[in-house]
Amino acid sequence: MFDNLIAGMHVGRVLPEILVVVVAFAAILIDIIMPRGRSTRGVQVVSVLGLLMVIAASFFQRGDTGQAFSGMVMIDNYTTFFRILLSAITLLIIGVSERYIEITRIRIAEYYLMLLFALFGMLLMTMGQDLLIIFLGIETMSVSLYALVGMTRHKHASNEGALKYFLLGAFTTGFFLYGIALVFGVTGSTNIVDITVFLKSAGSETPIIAWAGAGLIMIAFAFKAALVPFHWWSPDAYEGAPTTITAFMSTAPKAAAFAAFLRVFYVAFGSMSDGWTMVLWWIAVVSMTFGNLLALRQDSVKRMLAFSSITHAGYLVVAFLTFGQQGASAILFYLVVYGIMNIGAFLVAIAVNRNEDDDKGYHFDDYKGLVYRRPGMAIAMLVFMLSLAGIPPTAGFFGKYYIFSSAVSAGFVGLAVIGVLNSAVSVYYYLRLIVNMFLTERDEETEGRIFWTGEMAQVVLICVILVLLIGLFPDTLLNAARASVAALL
Amino acid sequence: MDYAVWIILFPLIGVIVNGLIARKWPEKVVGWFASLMIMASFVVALMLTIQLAGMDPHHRAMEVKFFSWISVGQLNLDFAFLIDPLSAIMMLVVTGISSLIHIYSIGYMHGDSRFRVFFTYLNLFVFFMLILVLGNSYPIMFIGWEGVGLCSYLLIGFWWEDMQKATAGMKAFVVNRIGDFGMLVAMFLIFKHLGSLTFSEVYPAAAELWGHHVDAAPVIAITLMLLLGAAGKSAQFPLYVWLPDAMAGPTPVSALIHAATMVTAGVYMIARSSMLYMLAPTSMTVVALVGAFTAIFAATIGIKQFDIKKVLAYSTVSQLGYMVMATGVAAFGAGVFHLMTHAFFKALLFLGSGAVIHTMHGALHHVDDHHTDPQDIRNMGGLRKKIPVTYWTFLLATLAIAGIPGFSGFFSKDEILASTFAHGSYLPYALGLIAAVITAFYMFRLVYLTFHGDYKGPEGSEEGIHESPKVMTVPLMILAFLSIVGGYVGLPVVFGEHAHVLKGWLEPVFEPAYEAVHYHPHHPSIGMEWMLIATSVVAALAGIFVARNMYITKGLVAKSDKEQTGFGKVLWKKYYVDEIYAAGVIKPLIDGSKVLWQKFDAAFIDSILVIGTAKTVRWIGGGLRKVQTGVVGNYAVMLVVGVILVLAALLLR
Amino acid sequence: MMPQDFVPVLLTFAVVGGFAGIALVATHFLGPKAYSPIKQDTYECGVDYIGDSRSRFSVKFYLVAVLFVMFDLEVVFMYPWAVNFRTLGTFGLATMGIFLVILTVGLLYEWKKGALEWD
Repeated sequence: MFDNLIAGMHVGRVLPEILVVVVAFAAILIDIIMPRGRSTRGVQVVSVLGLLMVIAASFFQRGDTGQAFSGMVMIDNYTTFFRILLSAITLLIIGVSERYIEITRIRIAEYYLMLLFALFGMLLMTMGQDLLIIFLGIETMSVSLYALVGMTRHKHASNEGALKYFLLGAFTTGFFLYGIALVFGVTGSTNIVDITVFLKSAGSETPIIAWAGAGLIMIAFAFKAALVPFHWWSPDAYEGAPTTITAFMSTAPKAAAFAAFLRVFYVAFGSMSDGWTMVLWWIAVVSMTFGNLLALRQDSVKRMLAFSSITHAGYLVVAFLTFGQQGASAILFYLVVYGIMNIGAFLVAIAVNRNEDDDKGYHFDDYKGLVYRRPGMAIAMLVFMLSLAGIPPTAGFFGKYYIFSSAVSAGFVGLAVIGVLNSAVSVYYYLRLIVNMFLTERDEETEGRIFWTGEMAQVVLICVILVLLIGLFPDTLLNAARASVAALL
Repeated sequence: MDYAVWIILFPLIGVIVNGLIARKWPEKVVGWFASLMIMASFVVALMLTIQLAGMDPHHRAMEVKFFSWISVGQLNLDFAFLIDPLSAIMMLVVTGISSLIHIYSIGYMHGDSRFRVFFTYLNLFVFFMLILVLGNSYPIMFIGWEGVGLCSYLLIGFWWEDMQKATAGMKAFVVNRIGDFGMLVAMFLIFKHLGSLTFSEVYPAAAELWGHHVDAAPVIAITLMLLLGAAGKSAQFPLYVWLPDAMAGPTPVSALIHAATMVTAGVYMIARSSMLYMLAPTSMTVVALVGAFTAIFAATIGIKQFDIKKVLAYSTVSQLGYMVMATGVAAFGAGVFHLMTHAFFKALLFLGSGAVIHTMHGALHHVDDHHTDPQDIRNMGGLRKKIPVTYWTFLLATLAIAGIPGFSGFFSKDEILASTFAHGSYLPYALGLIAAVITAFYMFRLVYLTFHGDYKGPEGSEEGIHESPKVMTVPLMILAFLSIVGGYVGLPVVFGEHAHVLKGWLEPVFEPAYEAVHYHPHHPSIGMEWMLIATSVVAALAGIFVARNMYITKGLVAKSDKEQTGFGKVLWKKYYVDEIYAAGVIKPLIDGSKVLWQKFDAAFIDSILVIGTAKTVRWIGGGLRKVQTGVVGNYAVMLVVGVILVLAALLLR
Repeated sequence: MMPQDFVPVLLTFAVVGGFAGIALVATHFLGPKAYSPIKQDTYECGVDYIGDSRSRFSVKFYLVAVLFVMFDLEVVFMYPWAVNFRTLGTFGLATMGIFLVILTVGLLYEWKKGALEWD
């Protein structure tokens, strides 16, 4: 009996996840052994090496697809795609953090540990084939993020953001669990495969309780992906968090949320698509518009990027509700692109920020005449802004292009038009930064010391190169996204 | 064939290593590393060519696909190389000459504060140039096209501390944009009419569509637009103006980019598009005339220039005119032949002039003279004895360009003139022949003034004149060797039916184009051929004789700037083309844009459209911002409202 | 299980809710009303109160409580394992071993971080 159980576990298939946990525990042990306050560099190095191993393991393990843990998790190309994406984002963030956490006075090993645990939670979300596993993943990720947001304990905004995020997050957790309970009540299972089978056979007779369950689950995902009207936590949490964490939160957890969202809704609730696409249509419209209009009025680059991330999540929903292979691959493509350009933009923002301890930092004025002071940095930021605005030949252009063309070919022309209009509005605030950098005279008063490290330079350079490479050769990534999505649908 | 990618990977590795990693490396290591990468690339090119030669002559073409690049709607493009006899010649020339010039630059750029950057740019240039010649479709060619343009801009303005040099870079960039516009329009038209941009699909489709009635309007438009692109890059009239100014860059750059490789891209592109041109005889005539006119126009300007590099620059424009003229009379092979030999001897001429400038610089520095121009031939003379290697190699190259029998330039130039004559284009032939006389004249004027006679530089500076180091002279000797023997791959028909090896090699590339319109290249009879050869030789000798008579026998020393009069002044002022452009194009543009900016842009667009819209949107944003209160209780309430809305929408469907 | 299966439950809810509501409302109307300081006091009969019930106490208690819950759960897992120890065999032993290692690392961590010290 247990032989079967062991055989059904396929432990080898979850090797990357096991590696993440092992690395996290190795990091804890280092933190314990090393003297107080001096362990972070060691923890960072171990984490970086470990994550490289995780990425390599995910890559080489990609052929071995199938279920593991008796169908609780599913390892396929889709999982592999997100494993690599999420690990890579975490790797980049961990790689640039050491000096940053030093100057922001949060130099404790828990910073890295929480990132690793968050990564573990996100990996669970992307491979979970059971709503409970996805729930576990979301909670593991969220609890780590709460702690990360509030890491800067001496800063008021950080505490406030963490508390708001925690309260609202806990609130939403209730909705998610309730949704799972309702779905379980109707279908008798929490496994996505079983739910799919049940709901397909129910067809148009799908009980109303299942609709309620799907709705509640959707709300939970919308919360984690910061979609309007469930985004309320995000501006405060993004602003309060250490900026490296803001960069992390606006990319990786968002990608993980969409990964699970896609799997649950495209597979389990696929037969109910005509209902949820309608709701998502509205969510997409308000997310794009609301995020944009708020970003317009920000004087802080950090807040601007935070609000615009709501808009970008809205674009992703546009592709999401097309409920097709094209849309899904556009989402995967965009998640990668968005991750790269956003991390790059946040890193430059960190570099230029005048006063890290000041809650009112990250002002647009800090960028005046940046091109005369730091031409390379200004050009890098230019590339990221153009990409975020979706202007060729950057990766962002193709990201948006694939999203809106998937919407058009699925018949959502109106939505695509709204999306493109929003995209045009967003050019305004991205351009504002470019104007400040390139067309404004230097202003000694608003200039601060540039905080720049070798690691940051390397990561920013990698991001610039990737944004341009993907902008020139989008097909490689798109094909990878297509192949990954094929496993799902 | 997968190893073909290494031909561009080696230069790319050079760019990455020198650009990012080699910050602290010593000069020698940086320079030799960059050179080694290019030599490795040359070896790959050789291997590819040998493999190509082993194939059946009629199927000598290989497409090497690396990855699919863009697939949008109907447009499916792979990032792929087309390796056929034509691109094989090009890649050999590019990598071969680049290797020599890289090595030469190690000596020439010695001590420059941005030595590493220079080699990074050079490697980057080779990378893009190879993409240009190897790409299997117009867009990939265009990537290379833009890339080499960028490198050219960066390298012309390499010493940007000098405002004049930075401006020269800008001028090259702007003029090339005009050509690029032509390229882009041509690509749009090709895609619109033929549904593809890949060479192997475009040409058969074009033959199918227009083969039966040539001179259709679309194909004329396409070919003229391509010609515009070629005129920009290959410095044809009236877009040649940037090339002489481009001499502001370091001399190895002038040799590599502005003589041997990049500027021939236009000729390569026309040869590559031979099918389209054969289908548009009208455009062919235009091409031939533009080429012939450029050849003579630039040659006449060359007579009166005093800057050693300016003379060579106008000579380059003139020689490029020959190549374009050759393609215009359907002698694509002859054009490519001249492209190759020109690459050898013109690179040599530039490198030789570089050695002269280098040593003059040292000599003037020796006597602390910072006013005398080290590039002005009026300050030289008698250098023959001081720098013999430079002199002899320079002389060999001059003999080659002047068209003295036995040297490479003779064979290729003669073939162009013979083909033009046989084609029946007598006007271009006449212009070309006169240009040949002038070429021989101004080149020997250059040699006599620089190397013969008495030294005319500042007192005492003679002691500072030394032969350049080995890294510079060895490439000169190799190039000199090539300038002599390079022509023997294309012996004229008088030596036998198959004496022209190059023609046989290139034949499969141009054959389909000829067949599509049932064109048979005209061959002059053997007697006529001898006649034409004799005419060319006489023309060259006449030019040399006049030069010798003027500058050696009579010892006419060139006049100083102010004494120029009459037509001589017009020539010296380069027909006032720059002034005409300034008055006729640039000033109206600036004035017009001022009006547009003040009246239209500032008053209407900015204040009403842009600011008005922005204000409205910002106002709405300000209202919304009040919703984001920051009070967590409100958030929870609004979250619940959202939940109710979503559930209501789903349940009350 | 279909929604109509829940109807009896709903009925029970209605009856319970209804009774509670009616009882509350009825006492309000039916009961005699007499106001006096003693009636208004927290405890009508018995000792006087000495302060607010929501008094503050040290956050350390929470820490101990949280740690207690964690290690309490450990026992929850171990108990069924111990009961079925023989059936689960090596597999069970290994699994429980990994589980305990993880917990031990956690224990070491909190020890080292000083979470077990009161001051």
